[in-house]
This record gives sequence, C-alpha cells and structure tokens, in this order.
Amino acid sequence: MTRLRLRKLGRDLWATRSRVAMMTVAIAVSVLAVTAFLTARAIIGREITRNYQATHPASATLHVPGGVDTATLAAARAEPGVLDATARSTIQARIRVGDGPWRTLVLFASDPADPQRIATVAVETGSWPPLKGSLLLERTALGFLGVSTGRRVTVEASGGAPTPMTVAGSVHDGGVAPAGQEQTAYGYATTTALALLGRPQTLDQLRIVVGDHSTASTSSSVIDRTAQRVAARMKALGHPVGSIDIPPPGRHPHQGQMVMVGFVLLAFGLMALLLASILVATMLGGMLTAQIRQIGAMKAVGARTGQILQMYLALAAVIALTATALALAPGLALGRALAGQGARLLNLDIAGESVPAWVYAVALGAGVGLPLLVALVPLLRGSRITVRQAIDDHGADPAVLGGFLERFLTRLRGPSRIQVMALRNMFRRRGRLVLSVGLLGVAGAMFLTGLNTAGGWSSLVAQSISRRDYDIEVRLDKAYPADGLVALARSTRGVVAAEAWGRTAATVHTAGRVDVAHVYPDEAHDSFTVMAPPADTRLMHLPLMAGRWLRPEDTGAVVLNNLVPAQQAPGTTVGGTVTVTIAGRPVTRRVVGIVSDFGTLGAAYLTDRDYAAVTGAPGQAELLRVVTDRHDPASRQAVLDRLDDALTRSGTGIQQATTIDTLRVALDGHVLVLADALIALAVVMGFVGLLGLASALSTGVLERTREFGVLRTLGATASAIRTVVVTEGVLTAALSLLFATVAALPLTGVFGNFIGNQAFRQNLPFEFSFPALALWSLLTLAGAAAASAAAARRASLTTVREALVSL
Amino acid sequence: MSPPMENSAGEPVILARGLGKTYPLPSGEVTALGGIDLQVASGEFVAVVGRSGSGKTTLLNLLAGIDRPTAGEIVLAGTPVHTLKGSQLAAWRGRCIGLVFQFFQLLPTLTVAENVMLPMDLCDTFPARHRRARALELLTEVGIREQADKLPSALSGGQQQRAAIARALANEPPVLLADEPTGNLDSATSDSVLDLFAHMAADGRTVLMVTHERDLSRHATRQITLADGLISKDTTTRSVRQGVAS
Repeated sequence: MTRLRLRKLGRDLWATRSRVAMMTVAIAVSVLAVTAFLTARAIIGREITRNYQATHPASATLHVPGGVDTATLAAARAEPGVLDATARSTIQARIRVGDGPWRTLVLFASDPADPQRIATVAVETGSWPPLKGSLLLERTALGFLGVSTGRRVTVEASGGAPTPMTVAGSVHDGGVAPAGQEQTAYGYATTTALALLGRPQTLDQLRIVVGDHSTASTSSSVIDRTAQRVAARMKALGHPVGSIDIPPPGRHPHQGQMVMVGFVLLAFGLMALLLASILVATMLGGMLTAQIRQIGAMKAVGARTGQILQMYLALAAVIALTATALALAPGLALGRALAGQGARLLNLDIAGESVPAWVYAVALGAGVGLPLLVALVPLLRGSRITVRQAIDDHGADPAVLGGFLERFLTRLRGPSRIQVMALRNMFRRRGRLVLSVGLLGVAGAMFLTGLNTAGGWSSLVAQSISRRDYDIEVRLDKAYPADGLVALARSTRGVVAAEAWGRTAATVHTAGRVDVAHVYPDEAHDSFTVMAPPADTRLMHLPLMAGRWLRPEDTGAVVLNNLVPAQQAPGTTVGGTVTVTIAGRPVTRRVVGIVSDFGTLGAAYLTDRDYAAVTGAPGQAELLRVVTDRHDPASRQAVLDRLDDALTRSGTGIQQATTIDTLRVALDGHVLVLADALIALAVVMGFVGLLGLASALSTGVLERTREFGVLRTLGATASAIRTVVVTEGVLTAALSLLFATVAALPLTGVFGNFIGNQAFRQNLPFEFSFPALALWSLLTLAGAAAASAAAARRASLTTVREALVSL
Repeated sequence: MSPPMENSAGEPVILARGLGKTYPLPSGEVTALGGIDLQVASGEFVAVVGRSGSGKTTLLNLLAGIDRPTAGEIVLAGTPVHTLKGSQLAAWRGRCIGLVFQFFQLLPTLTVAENVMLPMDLCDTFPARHRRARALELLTEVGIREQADKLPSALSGGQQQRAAIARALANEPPVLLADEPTGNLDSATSDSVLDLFAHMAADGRTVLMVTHERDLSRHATRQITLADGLISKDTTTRSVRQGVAS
C-alpha cells in the first residue's frame, strides 16, 4: 500500500480511536483468553504426562494371593515383552493424627531392597527406605492430615490394631491425585511396616512394565496379552493370579478431567473470539457505512474495489494485530499461572513453562486470521459499493417496515411519536438488529450456559449426596453378621437407623482369561465393587437410566451403575448378561437395570439373598450405613467417632469410615475446577457481549448522524434524540435477553450433558440460574442505557451543518 | 500529458448514441433518459440544464460510468464506456474523467494536497516523488496553494470546491464532468468556479456541467436543455474559440 493510503489509514484509525480501542479491547480480551487456555492446556497436557511417566507406572498389576517370591519375580522378568517387574503390596488402612478424625490411608508397601524402578516416587524430605516404624507420606497428605515430618501418627491397617508410626518424610507421587481432592492419604512403607501393622509381609502384587526394547507399551491390548501370558506362567509356577489391573496406559487418573477442562476452556475461548470477530466485523461494517461517501469519492477518482478492500482490510489487520500483540504476553503469563493452579490441583510438578510453537501459531492465527475472515464479509460488501450507491447514500435505509409491524406501529397509541420512531428504527435496519441481538444474545446465552452448567456441577454433587439417605458409611475389613452390626450401630448414641450391606471387590470375568480390571494402583479410580443392599433398603435411591431396580425375589439379576457399561463391561445393556468374579467365583447375571450414580465406583447391585448365595455366607455384611439424628458435619463426625469406638471394642475391623461430608468434599474437589472455569469463561463472554452492545449502538448512531441532523432542523431537541437512541438501545438489549434466555435452555442441556459425560460419564442435572439471569439482565439493560446515552450525547453534540454535510 | 483536443480519428471527445436509461419501480418502469444523441468536441464547456427529474444527473452518471445505460452507447475519449466492467471502469474513470460534485466529496482525513494526490496514487499515473509537486501546481492553478496542508474542514465552501476541481484534474483527464458544482456556493464563489471551468475548456479540456442555473452564457460555450429525458434545446452560446478568448 502506498504511503498516502497508509496516511489515510492512520488518520482514519485516529479519527475513530474510541471505536478502534473498543474493537482492539474486544479482540485482545478474547485472544488473551484463548492464549491463556491454550498455554495452560499445552503445559498441563505435557506435564501431566511427564509427571505420570516419571513414576514409571506399571503397565499391569497382577494380584497373586499367594505372594510373589524372588523366583517368580525373576520368571516374570524373563517373560518376553516384560521390560521390568517388581513385587509390591497395597494396603487399605486408616490414619489419624493425635485424636483427630480417622482418614483413609492407602499404604503402598515394597521390599526395602526394591530398587524402586517401577511406581517410583520422588522423595522430597527424609529418605527411602524409611526406618522401621515409620512411613513416608505423599506431600499433599501432609496438609490434608495436618501433619509434618517427624510427627507421630496412628495407622490402622484393615483388620489390624491401631499402631503408632512416625512420618519419616514426604514424597511426590505423580501417579496419584491430591489427598484433599480424594480425601485419602497415600503412604509409602516397607514390608517391615506391614508386620508392624499386623499384616503378613507377603507382597501380593506383581507389577510389570510391558514394552518393546526399552519403551513401555501404550497399547492396552499388548499389555493385556502380555499380562495374561505372565499370569499363565505364574500359575504354572504354582502362584495363581487372582486378577489383573491394567490402568489406561500412560494416562494420569485425572487426565480425562483435565482434558475436559481444557476443552471447555478452549471452546468458550474460541466462542468469545468468534463473538469478538463478529463484533469487529459489525464495527468495521459501521465504519464503512460511515465512510460510504468517502468510498464513493475514491471510486469516482479511480479507486478500484481491490484497492478499497485492501485499505480497509489493512485497517482490520492493524486492529487485529495490535490486539493480538497486546494480548499475547499477558495471555501467556495468565496461561502459565493457570497451569500452575492446575498443577497444584493435580499434584503435578511443572518442570518447564515453555510453550510449544503451535500455541503461538494458533493464537496468532485465531487473533488475526479469524477477525479478518469474519470482517471480510462487511468489507467486501462495503468496498463493492458503486459510486452511484455511495453518492445516493444519505445515512438512512430506504427499507420500510412491512405488514403487521408497520400497521401496529402506525396505530400504536400511548408512546410518543419519538418512542414509536425508536421502535421503527429498531426494525428498519433488520440486518443490524439481527446482528446486535444475535451478538449480545449469543454472549448472554453463553454467559447463562456457563453459569447454569457451573450450577449443574454443584447440583450434581448435591443430588448425589441427597440420593444417599445415610450420614455415615463404614467399610469393614471382612464380612460380619449383619444383624449384629445393625444392632450395635442402633445402640450407638445419635444413630437413628442402620443397614448392613454386602460389599466386595469384583472384576468382570471373561471365560478362559484371568479377570482384568482397568483400575489404577490407588485401587480407587475406575475400580469395581459388588453391593448387596437389604431388600427393603431405605438408605439409597438411585435414578434408573434403563430397566428396573431389583426385586426381593430376584435371583440371577443384577443392576449396574452407569460406570460399569462405560468402564468395566463396555457394551453391556439391559437384557444382556454380565459375568463377574465374586469371591473368586465367576457369576453370570442378567442385567435388569442401569442406574445413574455420581460419586461412586463402578458398582453392580445384587439382592442380599443372591449375594448370600454367591458368597456362601448368608446374613453377613461388609458395609454399614447409618443415619444420624443430626445432619451437620460436627454431629455426624461425633456419631462416627462413637460408632468407630463401639465397632472396634466389639472386634469389628474397620477398613474405612467416613461421613457423607467427606464424600461431598471429595466430589466438590473433582467438580469445582470445572465450575470455576465455566464461571471465569462466562465473565469473558459477558464482557465481549457488552462491548458488542456498546459498539453496535454507537455504530447505529453514527450511521444516522445525517438523520439526526434532519430531525434537529425540524425542531427535535437533544433530549428527544437521546430518547430515540436510548429507547432503541434498551429495546435491543431486551430482545437479546429474550433470545439469550431461550437459547440458554437447550444449550445448557446439550453442553451440560456433553461435558458431564466426557468428564464423569454422567448427565448433568439441568439447572437454570435465575441469579445469573438477573445479573445478565441488569448488565445488559444498564449497559445498553449507558452505551446508548453516551452515543446519543455524541450525536446531539454534532451541529446540524456537520450532520447534514458529513462525508 | 496534455488533453487531446480530439481523438486520433477526429471523433468528438464525448459521443452518445441512442442513450437511454430506465429504472424499474414497483409502479412500473420510469424513463429517466429517453434515448438521446450527443456529441461534444474538445474544448467545449457544455452546461446541461433542466428541471428536477429531467435526466441531467442521469446523463452525467452515464457519461462518468457511474451508472449503466439500458440503451445506446457512449464513447468517451475514444473508449466505449458501456463495454467496460468493474475495475476497468474505475481505472478508466480515474484516468479519463475528472469528477466534481456539489458537496465536494473531499476525504476529511487527508489534507487538501493529499486529496489532490489521491487520484495519482490510485491510478499510479505520476511517479510518487512528483505527485506532491503536481498537486501544489494544480492547487496554484485553482488559487488555493496556501491551503495545501490544511484539512478540508478548515476551508470555505468555495475553497473546497476548488480543491475538488484540482483533484479532478490530477490525472490530466480529457473530460471534466461536474454535477451541480455551484449548488452549494454563493454567487460570487460560483462565478469564480465557473470561470475556472471556462479557462479549463479554453485550455482544451472538455467540460460538461449539470446545473440548475439557467444563464450560463457568460461561461459555457454550449447549453443543452433536457426535459423529460430528452434534449429539448441545444444552443451554442459562444464558439469554442470565443470561449478560449474569454
């Protein structure tokens, strides 16, 4: 472009600096959001994998009830496809500090001489192996438990006695979720600690790394085949394998959750950018309309369409480039901060904050390319205008209202003619009205969808809690007489009802194979249990997704929760069968129903009678669920303490005892990150939307400068003109509100279900946030009034002469 | 470059044959120009007069390639205008036609000199380093050299119209078309603008001006009166040579 045209461009930018600033800010905010989200996603995506890989996770864990000795370990290592192997044990236990509440402890045990090449943890304080009588804690457990290195804690292994131990230090385990989020502490000890806790020193897990040469395999089928072969070899050596755990290869337990957060952030960020681009296109379209006579004049002296287009495209490019340049550095900084926050939430160490080149490329492409692409539409239209059209343009649209609207407005009594004129103006430029209402409406719909979905997450947690009609759950170390458990619970002060359920870990069985569970080493994520509630249970009501609930007379029937078809037994539907191994025995049952449940593991429900038949232990239970007289956290905890004492005194081994509040905290920990992300994004969308409204209104006023000049020659006062503009602005905002509200309804449903299923295989409860609607209404109506008043003020300051001869 | 007095074939600079323009309206077709024949030679200063709706502006728009005829043909400075399309038309207009409007149509964010330089820039007619000098020369010619570096808004109406005339002359077009150039000026300023046109015609340019003013005998060499889209009167007020002499 020539210097002269560049000069015009520069002066045009300066002459319209407030609008240019508005466009720049709108794009900059969106690009900032997109850059930040991309940066955070890139860093977290890389670091979550790196952290998890740094632990050298086992490809598979083979449960060998008889224990793994040196010879079998060597045999496993010698198997083709096995890169390495080690023997470990995982103990379900409890831990407390002083007289504090018992917390769940998962204790990972290994031989003191274990080289720690598999499931490696990074020792941060203290050293490995810990001395006798001590253990290392995962670093997030220190804060969760309120304990520090050197302090004494009490540990009670499932079925064992409370044993004092010393916290010898802390480790970082990149393969487990943060203790607070899971409400579970992770400990690391040697086999000597097992003996201390009253457990056999046998290491009953064979952990293998499957791969080729020195690279661990990421293929589930390869891992599965190798693990099955190793299991067969173990059996041949006289060490039969009970089941095999194969977690998703190379994936952190919370990777799916993080991917979803990244997706949501990016989707909203791009939507904000699209809105900003439309906003820029609208404003550029407005600028072109205001400069229509200039375009005509330039064409009259020889300018070609291409030259005009080039000039205005350059103008758009300057705006987009400036905005992107302004947004890039803060976007990267914000992204790094978000990644840091994400890392804390996921218990990751960030080794490097470098951002891959593709992030820059995408941010640049999105920040410059998208606005230019969207702006092409009005720019092409504006630059193609003929000299004749340009000269004939008087700032007024010749389009007239037709039919009903015209008749309605003509007959309308009550509002002044000035107000009727505002109404007519609104509908006269239908394209602009659709754009303004659409822009603000989409922003509003996204704002409402974001907050509705955030509400949906909270509601999901609340709903999950409300479906559990008990206050305390106690998992026992083995089966105990159900009647005795219930009687003991009922005799505890503060307990008003109790039920004893059957509960045991299970695996999906395929004939001719050792059962495989896709469970992580923490034995929580993606694990599977069989539950047997009493026939007349009153302590849980789960909504049916398909089929029916169990009937007391049912035999051979099973109800699954939604996680089982999703994780453990893909393709299972109502009417089909599922074979699970319970107590070492494969049992085939017909699926009569699938229930929805959030906040639990994969579960299969059998009738208590059927369960008794399968386990061969009628009247026995492994789970106690209790209703307390008061339902505040302190009261529940007090009852739990008393119940715990009573059970312990009666010789009942407790594996885990928690109040429903613990579950709530854990569930909140899982969804809050999503909810917070949605709220932050709703704010970005709202900001862009309001900028859009302000710009659309000021563009509308600018386009009608001449019309206002004519009005003023006819005696219209500045206040009358203000009335026209403000009325039009507020009515436009009101229309957009209607659009936003209506659009948000299906959007909330679709979006909520999509991300709910992606993150937790669960539809989100539909929530419509009326406070969000009230807030958005207030913002749009007040914003419209303020923006249009400002635009009207500028219009009323234009002299009649300026207005009439404006070029 | 100097404007041709006549083209190489000795044809008139403006030649219109059976030129017609109709507009489709919901109420039926409206004829703005009913098929006129017109020839204008180099150095003529033609005033096209007539009442509102007589077809004056339509004729000018057709000649300038701003509008397309529905009938007939136009050959302007040897170019059959009716055959040109889009960008060809814009480039042709920039080089062959100087347009002057009632409301000047100067670009408000460019200085007066820059406005004059714009056609040279858009049509790439003069080397970039010579454009300002040429613009100043033209501004001197129209008598507003001292206003060169001001923005149009700082100029009076007459000065703005002079600037617009200078801009119209930037690419040395053989034909100057003016649409009500004095419509927004007082009588004294109008006179000086018309004098300017007369001098340009005297210098060999062809000037065709659409105007409401009836008595232009002092300036124009020929007056064409339009009525209902047809030429009702075509009067030579003075010979071209007289015009040059005046």
